[in-house]
Amino acid sequence: MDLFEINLTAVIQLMSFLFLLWMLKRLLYDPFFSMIEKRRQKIEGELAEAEQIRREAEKMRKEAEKLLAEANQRAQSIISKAEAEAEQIVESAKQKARIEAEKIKQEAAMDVERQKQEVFQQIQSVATELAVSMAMKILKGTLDEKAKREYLLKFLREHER
Amino acid sequence: MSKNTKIAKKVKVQFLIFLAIYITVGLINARYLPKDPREVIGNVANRWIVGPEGVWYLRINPATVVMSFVVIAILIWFARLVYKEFSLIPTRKQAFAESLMEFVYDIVQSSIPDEKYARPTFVIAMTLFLYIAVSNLISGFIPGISVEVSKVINESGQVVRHVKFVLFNDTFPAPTSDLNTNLTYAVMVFLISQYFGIKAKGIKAWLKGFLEPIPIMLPMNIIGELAKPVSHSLRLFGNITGGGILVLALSYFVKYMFLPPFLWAYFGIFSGLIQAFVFSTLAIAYIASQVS
Amino acid sequence: MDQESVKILAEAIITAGKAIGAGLCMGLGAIGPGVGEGHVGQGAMEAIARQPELTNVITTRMLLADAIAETTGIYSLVITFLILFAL
Repeated sequence: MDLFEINLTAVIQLMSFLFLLWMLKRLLYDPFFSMIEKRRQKIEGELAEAEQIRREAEKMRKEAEKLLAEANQRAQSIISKAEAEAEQIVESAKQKARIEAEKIKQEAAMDVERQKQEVFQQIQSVATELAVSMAMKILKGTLDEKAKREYLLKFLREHER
Repeated sequence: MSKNTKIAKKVKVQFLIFLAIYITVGLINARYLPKDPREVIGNVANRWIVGPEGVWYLRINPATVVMSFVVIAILIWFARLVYKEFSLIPTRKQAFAESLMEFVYDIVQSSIPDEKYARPTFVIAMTLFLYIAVSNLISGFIPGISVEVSKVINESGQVVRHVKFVLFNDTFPAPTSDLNTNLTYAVMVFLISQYFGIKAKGIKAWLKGFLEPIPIMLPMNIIGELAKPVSHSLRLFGNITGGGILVLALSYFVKYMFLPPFLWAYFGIFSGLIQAFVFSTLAIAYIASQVS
Repeated sequence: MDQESVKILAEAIITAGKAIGAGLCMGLGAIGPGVGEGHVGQGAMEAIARQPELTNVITTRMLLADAIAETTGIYSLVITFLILFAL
């Protein structure tokens, strides 16, 4: 019956087991649990820190975006202004050129007109002379010199209109 | 690459030393083996017990006690080593201990969600696991001093034990192959589970639990509860003792020439670790069934 | 028959009974756990084939279930010890 005998050994084993349990609890389990707790806290702290950093980065990003948008806007406005100015300059130059051209054209036209007028007057006087002389040759004797001239002038003026 | 080859070389050297030791042990055993198998196998059921016959509180199993102290000393030495260098970033020893504890703690947490009971359950189950695993390992696959006891009944009808210490014949005697150890632990787990049950449910609900599902089942429930420590302790006892006897018999039959290393490896490492795991897991399960 | 030979005969019968009883106990007692562990192994293999990613969990549970199915076998082993060495 040696295999199934229960004796004082059982009590000794219980005592030594409780001693082992106490020692291991002090040396292994308590550090283990505190380590788990510490790790958890550290991870939580790091997570919070990361969250804060992320938030800061987000804020900075937004600021940068805002700045960028502003700069963009300003550049846009500057460009549009410059474009408008350029347009204006071109427009004004065109205007000026057109006015100049118009002026030159007018001057030329006036010149032509004047010359025409001159030529016309010359022709008129010559033609009047001619016509008078011709008419005098034809109408010799029917009218006197003065009446003939007046009549002819009247005639010419009427035609002139 | 060079590191790997270095490690492989180291492993090879260790393996060669291991083989040399085992072959030497086999040769020594083959030389001094008793010729009659009954001399070896007839004594497997005898234990070295000191003390007067029939007085249980004066009798003691020295082999069990000494081996159990050795196991406890090894465990405390290891725990001190780990404790000294405990830090947030684990070293190799600490990582090993922590992964082991995490493994057991996960099992405890999955069966007992309440933190109030999970901690003490973990402490008990982990200590049981470590103690049984180490005791199974050192007495499972390390050839060492074993005790051979032959019983003789003298004229006045008293049993006289002749104790013989044998070197390298068998492995060290395991504390877990003694029913004293196993029954103590199983009864301890049983009492703790009942205590936790009373504490968690209240004494009325705990008593009512025996009348479930119908009052007629009361004796069945009581027997079922009482069978737990018996099966719990006898499982470990039967496995380790049976394995030991089997190894001894088979080793004798092959004259210790080539089987013992493999048998010791199987019964010591594989079976021993599984039984340690099963013992602690069942302790957790028994406590969990009472707590929830 | 004299007293001495009767005693020897009785001892022989006792030894034979022990041997037969122990052999039968262990042999018959090993059937149940064998079948049970086979069932456990079958279930575990099917589960692993269905869900290979759960192999670790299933193996752990299988070992536990094996150990529990083994209980009756261990009982018969203990009874065998009792018959052989304690009777």
